[in-house]
Amino acid sequence: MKKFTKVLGSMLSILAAFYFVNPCFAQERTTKEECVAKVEGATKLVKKIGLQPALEKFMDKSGPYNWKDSYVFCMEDGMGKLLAHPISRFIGFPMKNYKDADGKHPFAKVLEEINTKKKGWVEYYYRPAGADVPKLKKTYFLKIPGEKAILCAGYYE
Amino acid sequence: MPVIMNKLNSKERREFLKKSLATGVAVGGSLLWGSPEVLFAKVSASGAPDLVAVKNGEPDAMFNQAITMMGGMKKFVKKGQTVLVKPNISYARKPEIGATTNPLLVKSIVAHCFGAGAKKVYVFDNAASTSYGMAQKCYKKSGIEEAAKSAGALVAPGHDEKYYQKVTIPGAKSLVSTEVHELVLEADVFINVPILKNHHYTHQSIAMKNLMGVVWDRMKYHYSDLEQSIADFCLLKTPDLNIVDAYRVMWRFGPQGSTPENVALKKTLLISKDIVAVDAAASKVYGMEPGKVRHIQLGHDLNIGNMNLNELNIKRHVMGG
Repeated sequence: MKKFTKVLGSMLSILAAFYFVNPCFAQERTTKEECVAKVEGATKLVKKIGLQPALEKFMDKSGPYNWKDSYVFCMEDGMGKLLAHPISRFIGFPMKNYKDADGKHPFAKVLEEINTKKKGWVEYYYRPAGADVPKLKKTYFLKIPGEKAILCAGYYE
Repeated sequence: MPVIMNKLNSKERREFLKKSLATGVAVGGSLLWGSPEVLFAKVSASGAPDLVAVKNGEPDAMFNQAITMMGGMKKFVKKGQTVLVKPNISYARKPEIGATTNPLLVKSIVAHCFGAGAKKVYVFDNAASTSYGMAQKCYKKSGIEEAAKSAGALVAPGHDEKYYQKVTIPGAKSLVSTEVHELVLEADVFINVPILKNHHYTHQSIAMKNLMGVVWDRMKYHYSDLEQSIADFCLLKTPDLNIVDAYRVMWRFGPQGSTPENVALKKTLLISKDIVAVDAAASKVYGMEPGKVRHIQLGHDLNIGNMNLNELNIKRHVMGG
């Protein structure tokens, strides 16, 4: 498990890039406000229909939680195990071990502080498909009240 | 070929060396490890250098100097032999980005191989994206295809699984089996020509990491234990010569790179038969202690080579100095 958790992070960056090759996702740029609204809307959905059914909605690539060049993803407390992500093979990957394009672990601190901080923004470098230069991505995170899960969505600066 | 076998662990080897030196039986030790001169260098007055480092020149000029200091290419390539030169051509990037080996260096190496009497010289890499179109882009944009061909090399394809043969790696902990390009298995001489650059997961990509480009399924490394797999491959095969291009050194956003602003002009070239030693020296050039780069430490612990630079006979040369 440790090996899996450590090295699959590189896959995360590589394959996520391919995901956004889809022109449906590459046309418009997501805004900061949209990220907050989508995450808050996703939180309400969890409260309304329960976590598991909501996770399925988040993973629906043609649903409202995958829009423009962004998407809602969900991770567990602790190691940040991915519970929902549009790229299904990433499910289970611990975001605590994820290294960004600059070799940093952006989600390690988020996960350590989540039970006191509850919500906020995290920045990291991400290389969208076809981009020669990694871009600064700002991701909004919010712990779902009453659940051991965190919802996130990000935009490029 | 220097396939590693019948090895002692690192501690045992060093203990044995001490005893061998004390009793004057160092020659016998060489039968056990294949190339113990790496460790004997400091007490050998006439031994060839374990590692040559050249600074402040253009890539081809530095190579001319370095290979001369190593004893000349004829020491590594014999008349009529087939040579494989394996640069880093992983990404479709211009040389200024520091993601791929400098084409001038590749051209010079190929020319030296022919000068030593090589019958054929192949140049190849399995680019990070294995689709034919992307591999072609990498070959062209890096400038390596043109440079290699202009020196008379055959630029071989690496984008199709049909070129690869399945092998098992005795002693491997993570990469217990893989598919290796046929040229690596069939060439008489294997010359590894990495570029020193940043890697966001392994800190650096140098000589050991560059061998990831001779296997078909690169992602297998990522799915298991990346650094252990890098070290494991060296249990199957280590190159006859490692030439590290540290002319431009990408220090951020590797391995793909970004802009020239994240590239430092180091104008350095390193040569060694010892893949771990050359990685350790390159790591120092990069500005990091080799022991902090896990795959270098693993390579040392597996007795693939020696990362203790103070135990090596290193010859240095500053061009124009």
